[in-house]
Amino acid sequence: MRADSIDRSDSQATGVTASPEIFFDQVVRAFESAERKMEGPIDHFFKIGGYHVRLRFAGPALVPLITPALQHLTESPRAGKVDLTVCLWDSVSTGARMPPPPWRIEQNGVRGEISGFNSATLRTTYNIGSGILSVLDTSKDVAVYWIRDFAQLPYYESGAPLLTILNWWMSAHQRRILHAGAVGNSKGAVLLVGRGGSGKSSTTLACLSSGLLYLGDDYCMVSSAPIPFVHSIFSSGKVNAEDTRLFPLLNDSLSNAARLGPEKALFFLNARFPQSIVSGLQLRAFLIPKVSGRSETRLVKVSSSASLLALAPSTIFQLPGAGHEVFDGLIGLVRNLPNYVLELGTEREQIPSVISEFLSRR
Amino acid sequence: MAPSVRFSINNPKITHQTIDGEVVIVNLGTGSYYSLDGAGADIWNCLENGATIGEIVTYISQRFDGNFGEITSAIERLAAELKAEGLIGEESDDGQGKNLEQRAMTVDGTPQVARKQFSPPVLNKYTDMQDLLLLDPIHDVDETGWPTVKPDVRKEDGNK
Repeated sequence: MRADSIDRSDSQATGVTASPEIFFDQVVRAFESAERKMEGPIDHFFKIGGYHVRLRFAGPALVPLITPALQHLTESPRAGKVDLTVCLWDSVSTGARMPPPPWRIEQNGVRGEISGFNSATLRTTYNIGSGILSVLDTSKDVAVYWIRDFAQLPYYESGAPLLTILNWWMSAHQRRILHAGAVGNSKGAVLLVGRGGSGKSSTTLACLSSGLLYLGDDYCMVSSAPIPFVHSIFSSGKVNAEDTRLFPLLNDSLSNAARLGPEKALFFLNARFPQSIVSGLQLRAFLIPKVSGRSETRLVKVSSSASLLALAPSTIFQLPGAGHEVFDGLIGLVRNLPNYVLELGTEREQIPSVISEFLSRR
Repeated sequence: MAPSVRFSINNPKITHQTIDGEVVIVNLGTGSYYSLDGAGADIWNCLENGATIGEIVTYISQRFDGNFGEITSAIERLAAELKAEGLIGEESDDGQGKNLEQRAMTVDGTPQVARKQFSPPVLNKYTDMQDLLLLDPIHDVDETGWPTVKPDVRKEDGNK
């Protein structure tokens, strides 16, 4: 449904005009009101995918929930150009209200996209599950991120914050966020692709203390020009609670020990492994982890369609608004790079060795 | 199924890509995704190009060794399955079909290659992404007018 076809009586009932442009302006004004109540912004700067990103918080409540996963990409406060500004706030800690939604519940799509509130320059999602509103105006390079109560921010959002906004903005700047992990060495990186539970996180985390470099366990960003390249986004890692025993070196990095069980184990890795986490490496291959049941770990060559099947659907369904352009962005990469199944053996120490030896032959 | 029946991909809810002779199809509305290879990929690409069932039967028969009746029924069965999954919809025959050689050339842009043995295509279906979609969000509306999922049905997103 387009914005101009939204039932006016509904919007009048809410007191908000049903236009995505007007709604965006109202959301920005609500943020500015929150910021004034909190006596000015709290700024954090990051260099993500080569771009300068300013996170402008209204109050301190969301800072420790959003910034730890981005810590490895921190940069000094910039007096110069900022490429993207994200305004973050919550209503409970700031006392500032968000205007009510000017759309009907039926307009809330299955991935959170709001029908009628997405255009060439404006993007809007409201994820009912997490309660997070994300809006972006690409013509202004300004986004707003809001949740009613900071204390309700899901722990997994702390592990991969701002994913929707970053995906939108980076997609317009020749970067594509993928549901994939990545590790590498001086020769380059491999992208580990597959659905949740396929072994991406356990593989990447197993590499962390092996001398391999870490770029992410669940989400990474790729670009294809001038060379295939993997950009790190989050220096977090997440495994099932029962698997934490496999990673004793990560105990100091565990963020949610008291809530394991209902929550997966979420690690913030930068403080403990700053030398092992890098912002980007040349992309060399796609690996599809699969538990083999055998003792040894090995690589088995597969077709590029296997990587596409392992990567595209899970990326599309995890990122609101993602669609055919994910295929378009991936097709050249999986065609031009080698694709393998990484058969994961029970002797886990072999896993990083196999990857390292593979990369050393590149 | 009449030979003149023509289908089209149910865009924009369906997104798909063909690579190395295999098609990956994603249904953005349901969370299901699919793969097709071999003759199934050729049939899908014929459907995408607007071929009728009759034209597809002829095209596949030219490229594959197999019993004509078996090929016909396999194509009709696959088309019916794709339709039942909501991936394609039936079109009225608008008479714009190209001759078979032209269509054969346009399916993959290359002339016919060595014939292969026909195997009935299998539509592989995957449903592991459905949990990521908010297909039936049970929600309250809080005092600010924003919907929230009731705490007793809140669940962690599948892969997050």
